[in-house]
Amino acid sequence: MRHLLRRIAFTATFETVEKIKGKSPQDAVKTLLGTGNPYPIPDTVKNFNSVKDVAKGNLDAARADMREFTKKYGGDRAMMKPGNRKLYNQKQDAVRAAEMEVENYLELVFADYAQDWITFAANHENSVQEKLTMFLANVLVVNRTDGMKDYPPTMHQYQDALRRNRLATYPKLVKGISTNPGMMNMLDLPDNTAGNPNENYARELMELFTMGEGNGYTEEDIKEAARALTGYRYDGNYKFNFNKSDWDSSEKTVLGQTGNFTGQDIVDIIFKTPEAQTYLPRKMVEYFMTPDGIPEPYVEALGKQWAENEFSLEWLYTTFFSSRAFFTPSFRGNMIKSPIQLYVGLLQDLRLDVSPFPRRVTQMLDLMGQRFLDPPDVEGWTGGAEWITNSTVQIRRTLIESHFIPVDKRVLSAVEKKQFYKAEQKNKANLFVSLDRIGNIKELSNDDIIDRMLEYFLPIPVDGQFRSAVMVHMAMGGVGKAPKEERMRQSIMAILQSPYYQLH
Amino acid sequence: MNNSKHPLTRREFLNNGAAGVGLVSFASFAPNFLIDAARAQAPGAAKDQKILVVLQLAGGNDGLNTIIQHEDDAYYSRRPTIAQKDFHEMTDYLGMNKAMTELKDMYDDGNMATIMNVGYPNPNRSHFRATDIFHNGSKVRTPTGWVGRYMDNACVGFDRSFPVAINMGESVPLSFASKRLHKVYSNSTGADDAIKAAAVDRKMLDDPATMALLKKTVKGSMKAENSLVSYLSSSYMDAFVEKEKMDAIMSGYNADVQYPNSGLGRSLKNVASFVAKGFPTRVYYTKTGGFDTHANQVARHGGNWTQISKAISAFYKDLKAKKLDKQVVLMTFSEFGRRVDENGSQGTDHGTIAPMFAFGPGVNGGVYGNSAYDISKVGGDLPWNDKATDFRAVYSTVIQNWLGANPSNLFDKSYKQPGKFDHNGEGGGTQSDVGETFV
Repeated sequence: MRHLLRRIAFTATFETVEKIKGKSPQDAVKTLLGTGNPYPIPDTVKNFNSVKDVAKGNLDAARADMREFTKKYGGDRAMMKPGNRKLYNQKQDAVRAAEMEVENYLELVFADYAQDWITFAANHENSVQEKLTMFLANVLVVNRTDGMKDYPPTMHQYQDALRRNRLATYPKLVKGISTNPGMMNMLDLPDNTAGNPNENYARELMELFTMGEGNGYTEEDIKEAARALTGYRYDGNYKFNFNKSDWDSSEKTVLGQTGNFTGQDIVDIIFKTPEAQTYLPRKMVEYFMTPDGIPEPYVEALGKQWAENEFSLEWLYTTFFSSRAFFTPSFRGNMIKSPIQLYVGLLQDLRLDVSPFPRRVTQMLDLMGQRFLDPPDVEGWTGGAEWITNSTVQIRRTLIESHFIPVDKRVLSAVEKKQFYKAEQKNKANLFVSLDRIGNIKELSNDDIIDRMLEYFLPIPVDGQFRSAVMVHMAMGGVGKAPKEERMRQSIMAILQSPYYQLH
Repeated sequence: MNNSKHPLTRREFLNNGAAGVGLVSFASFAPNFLIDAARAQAPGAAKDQKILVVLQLAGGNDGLNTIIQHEDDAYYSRRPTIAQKDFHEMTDYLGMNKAMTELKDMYDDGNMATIMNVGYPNPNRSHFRATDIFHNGSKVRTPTGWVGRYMDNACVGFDRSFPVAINMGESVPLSFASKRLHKVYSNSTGADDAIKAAAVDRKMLDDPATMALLKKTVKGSMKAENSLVSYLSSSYMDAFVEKEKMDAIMSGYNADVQYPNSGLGRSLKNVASFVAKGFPTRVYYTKTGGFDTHANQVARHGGNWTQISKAISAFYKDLKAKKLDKQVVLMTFSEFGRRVDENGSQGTDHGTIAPMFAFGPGVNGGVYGNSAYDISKVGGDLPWNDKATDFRAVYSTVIQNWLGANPSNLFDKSYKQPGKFDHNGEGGGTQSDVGETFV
């Protein structure tokens, strides 16, 4: 069951384990699929212009401060007393930082969004819902660079379209997403007009959403389908708007069928092909089960039944996650956690709140290689071994270690101080694992302590050398040595920083 | 999935690696035991191998205030408060920003090449997107960068005991992204700064006792039966070991000159430490920021160039003392230039075209490109026309003439190398098929 939770969510939280304890796999999955809450658009995303206004206000204030200063002491740094030079530098830095924030205010918007979303996803009630949404977002990919066109709410609208339809039928989801402004921007649908077709969407619809590259369709099918997918627009309120005059109403032949098809007809035609039956199940296997894939007959059998069940995603998840194949022991701990999986799971494992400093959250994600809501292109995150480079190894370690160290309030900027106190007021400032908390189980024997830590944190048993290294470390007590809590803290950090914890 | 655009997966690597066609991941630092199998037959790098250092001027360098068209009245009238009336004269028509004192000496010695008016059609003005375009070497998003494609094409079989490319910055630049597996090192002394910035609210990180324990466990699990665990553990161990090795080279380095105490000064000193150590590494990447000069530009832009000028000059003096200067060319780029007219805050906003520079005894000093714009005749931006040079033409020249590789399949098409600049007032130079190029 812990394996199931590590895959269908971010980790096996205490609350969720309780919820499904004693249930059959099928009932457990059904229970889990029934969890989730609506995710309202974060205020800063909705009112993103106010973020810019605030940033501009900060810049005006910083510039005014600078002007005041130069009025008093003159503008020539070289002529100043050393103390004033330092002040001058500080003020100049403040102006520069404020300028960067105006320039990059969208980064601030998405930092708030990332922090807000991680908080939401780390709530065990939402974890399954959000993980499935992440999966769908890695098939029907929109990134903010190309998808939002400077209007951040588009990204919430897109994410929510996947979230709300995550248990619907897949054809319905695909039809819905093709009328989503973010997706339309991503794949140039508004540029696709009768007489002047843009094939981008038609190609990816077959290649990346439903059939697989070169799998059962021809270049001619793409050309013809592109003509059917004309007339897709959205209005000033970011609502889909079918512009009939831009639609190519003439006859098309797609995948062997001929008619005056619309874009939505094309989706129905695609789902009559055998390729469409196996494409998403194969994606599920790669995302949730094993990056190495499983023998094709298993996928075909699953796909056939899925088609018989009207391509219901709910049916597919239930069947997939309660199958014997899914629980095959060799599939445990055989995947490398994405940065988001690591981050959210870590917060849940340690029962901590997310950092109150939004830019720090996104900086860590950026450095680990997963810019929030911004996969590199329409193929999504490829993940796997690519997450691990010599610099991301260090950054993953830092992320983990930083959750064992208290915030040093002295080094916070004015804005960060505000953010910190706001988190304290909201009772969301549980930010690091204290020695007191670790001390709870210190009366147990070292053997027991280590077993509990390994069992709780890691997806698979460790090798003997690993365990004995931790054992030696725990036993290094005595006069003048680190107290037991400290050794436990170091052991937990090392376990979390180890390759094993990067797996799920 | 057999999509050629797809970076290959670990699985495909494990299946194909032994055949030498295998995987490779973005900015990957793959464990040696995996790569050994994929080692091809190409010879190791010669000791006098040519080296390229790429320096990004992040933020968008104002080209018009870097290389000054001092005989153009419109330059002064359109920039009433920020125009540079005082400059180092390069030619009858062009001057260098006064802050570039040491670089002017390099120019006089024939060790600095300026490629005027570099850009690309329909430029993007977002810092992120425009930077990506320069890294990709493509206007369309690509999963690989131009350095990565160079490595894919020209560095197969590189001596695995050294990185092909070293990044001196925080996160690995997109330009290094490749299809094949190359040993690429990201200097985490640089990355440490970024990590510290990301966790500056925390007290000390990198607890030594935890690190010691972690190393012990990782060493053990390198031999774990689970192949993914042993793979990851080896990656970890390589990362740890390599970091120690590289840190030791950098900290033990004896420079022959005093480098300026700036981020760029430290980065270039570190580059010199690897060059002096005899690393066959072909490409280094580093960047320096502060060019987004929307306000109070003169002091800031000048300050940046003062730092850069001192750092590059120290770098070449140091290399020269070790007789290594002829091996190294340093090339700069910036994601965009800035608007022709100054704005209301004594600064300039995001623009289009700007010069690129190349330094070192390996370059043919001088000015390259087509000809200067007539500033009285252009709109708010320097337009993309026959006076401009595509940045990929500059990359291609460096790849072909310096790194000795074929640039033809690295970009969407082949680009003519920029020729000597004619700066007789109205300009009129042409790009040459032959003749002298900047490197």
